[in-house]
Amino acid sequence: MIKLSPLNQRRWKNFRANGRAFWSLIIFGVLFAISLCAEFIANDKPILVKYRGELFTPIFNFYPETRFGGDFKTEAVYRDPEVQCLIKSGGAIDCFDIPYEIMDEISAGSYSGADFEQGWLMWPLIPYSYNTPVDRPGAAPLPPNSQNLLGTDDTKRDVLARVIYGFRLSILFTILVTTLSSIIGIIMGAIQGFFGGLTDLILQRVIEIWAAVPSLYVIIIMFAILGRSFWLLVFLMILFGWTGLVGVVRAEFLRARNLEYVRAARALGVRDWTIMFRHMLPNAMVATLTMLPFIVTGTIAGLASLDFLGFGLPTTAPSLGELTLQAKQNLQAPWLGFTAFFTFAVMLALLVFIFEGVRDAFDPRKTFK
Amino acid sequence: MQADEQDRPLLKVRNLRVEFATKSNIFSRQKSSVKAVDGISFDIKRGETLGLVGESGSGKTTAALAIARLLEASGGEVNLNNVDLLQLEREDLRQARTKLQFIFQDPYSSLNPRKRAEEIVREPLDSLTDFDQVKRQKIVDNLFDSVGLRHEQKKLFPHQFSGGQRQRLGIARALSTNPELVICDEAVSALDVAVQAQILNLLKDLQANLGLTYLFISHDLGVVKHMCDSVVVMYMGKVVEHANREQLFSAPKHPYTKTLLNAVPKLDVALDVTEVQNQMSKSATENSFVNGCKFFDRCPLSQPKCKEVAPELGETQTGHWVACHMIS
Repeated sequence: MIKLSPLNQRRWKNFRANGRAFWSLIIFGVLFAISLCAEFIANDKPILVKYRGELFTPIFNFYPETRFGGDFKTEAVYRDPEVQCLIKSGGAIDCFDIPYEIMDEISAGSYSGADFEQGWLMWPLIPYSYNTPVDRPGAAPLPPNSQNLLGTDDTKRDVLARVIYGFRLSILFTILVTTLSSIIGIIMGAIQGFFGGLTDLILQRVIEIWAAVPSLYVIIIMFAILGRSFWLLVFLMILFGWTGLVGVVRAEFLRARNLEYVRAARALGVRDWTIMFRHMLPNAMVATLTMLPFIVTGTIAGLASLDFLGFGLPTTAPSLGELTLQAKQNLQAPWLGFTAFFTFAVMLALLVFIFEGVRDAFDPRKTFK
Repeated sequence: MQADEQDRPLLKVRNLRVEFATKSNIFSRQKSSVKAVDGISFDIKRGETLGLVGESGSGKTTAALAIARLLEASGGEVNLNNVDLLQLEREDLRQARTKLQFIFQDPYSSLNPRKRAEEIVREPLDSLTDFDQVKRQKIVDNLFDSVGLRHEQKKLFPHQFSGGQRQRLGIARALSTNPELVICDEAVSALDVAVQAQILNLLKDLQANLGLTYLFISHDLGVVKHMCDSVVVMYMGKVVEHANREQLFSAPKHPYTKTLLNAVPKLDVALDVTEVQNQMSKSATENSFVNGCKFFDRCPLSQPKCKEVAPELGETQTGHWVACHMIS
């Protein structure tokens, strides 16, 4: 456990005192932790398989169907009744003809084939991954029932599984983009504000031009040339997103560089870099933190809108924006729209509450009350 | 040899000028500027204290900032130990700051609110010396002793100190690199009178113990009389009188110095407030572009000549320099 400095301890106490922010952090933390384990919660492979006295972990390892007495050398399709029957019966040949009957007999305890050794499969709570086609009769999108708690989308994929994976993707994407573009933005803003004059003038014009580039078109064009991918999108979002914080940090540094203690540090012979990041940045942090929630929510919305327009991540990727697009195209299936809406609402509200608390905790006027 | 070393001035300022460009007219290429410091010169001997006095806006703080290179001078020379500070480049300048330190006016805003007392004092050591941790810590401990702060206060933040204690921190910080020249820019004017006396005595004790040289900037003549060996009086960016303490306070020559000394409220003499107000009320900025003496329109002795020709600084008697047509 890292020992916090007294200042940070006080900030943590302030944050805890803010009930809404604290509980938002806990709920968000739990949701994010769950989504990080998405493979164990929503997957089309069982977590654990017992076959003829041996244990298998299909999520981590590749097992061909032949391993369980089947015919194919490709990966076992654990959702097939034949494969399930093979595992449960210990490889009975009859499974290829009458799998359901055999499984019924095994669960009733009346099965007695030759060479029988009972096995089992341990499934995740939701037996579908984000790209598993649901085996259910009817035209997609299918309404919610006990098999698909939030229904399916228009290509018969389980909506709940896609929401869990989509939440994780959105948050990880946002953390990555926000962190990297904030670091670049803070450094650029600090350089501009600290040195001022000609440096400031030139960089400010460059940023104005850069920010005026229609980033959406550039992203669409780059995707058309290089193909859609997660990492390309991260790179492009950072490339056009770092200008967001520059203004605030620059303004804070322009204000701070004439403060007496910054002047004092210069008079004492402290290095420019030390002054910038040891003296000025900590005092500019509150303003930066105030801006951060807007960048975080903006990044989530940016990813969602690209997906909504159909120019975002590859179509197989679990995306909340794509879910919203499907909701628009299938107004007869309100569970799509409601799910997308509530997921976004809960996610953004929690983040805003958390950052509100963080900002207040960092406010020196409140910290030193 | 030793005597030469002692006699040679530590700081030599020659014809120092600081100009601020004002907004130029769109229709003309001519740029105008305000001369905040207009060619001042003085020497400070090792171990002495030179007072720089004048009213607000006379350019004394600007001059100090320019000497410490916190503000770029437009011209002139600032020789510290025969090195012209104005010519130094970045890293050399940073190293030169070990010998020249600054005590700031406001002990509240000049200390970083997020740093602890010992970090504040140690900071110049961290950036200018390569002493090891133990030695730095020892220096900091000694400084806390010598400025009269307790060791258990090392972990506190600036806002947990009183004004006088904060200024002691500022002094400790300035002394940490063992400087030769310390510039005190209105170092006590933000403090109340009882604390002022403590800080002034501390500065004097430190000077006696460490052989420091002070450039002491103040608008408070009482403080200057207490602290300084010689005094430079500035008016509108120019030196109007330069003398040692006894001469200046007993026999001021320049009409401005006289006015300034008269303006100090005294308990035993009923002050004719209206007269002083009349003399001092005229704006000091309106006439900054006249050719002649800048004090012309406020001066009781003014003659037509004063409006045309600017008076040069002339030595009226040994060590007493005055810039006035009517005196020299």
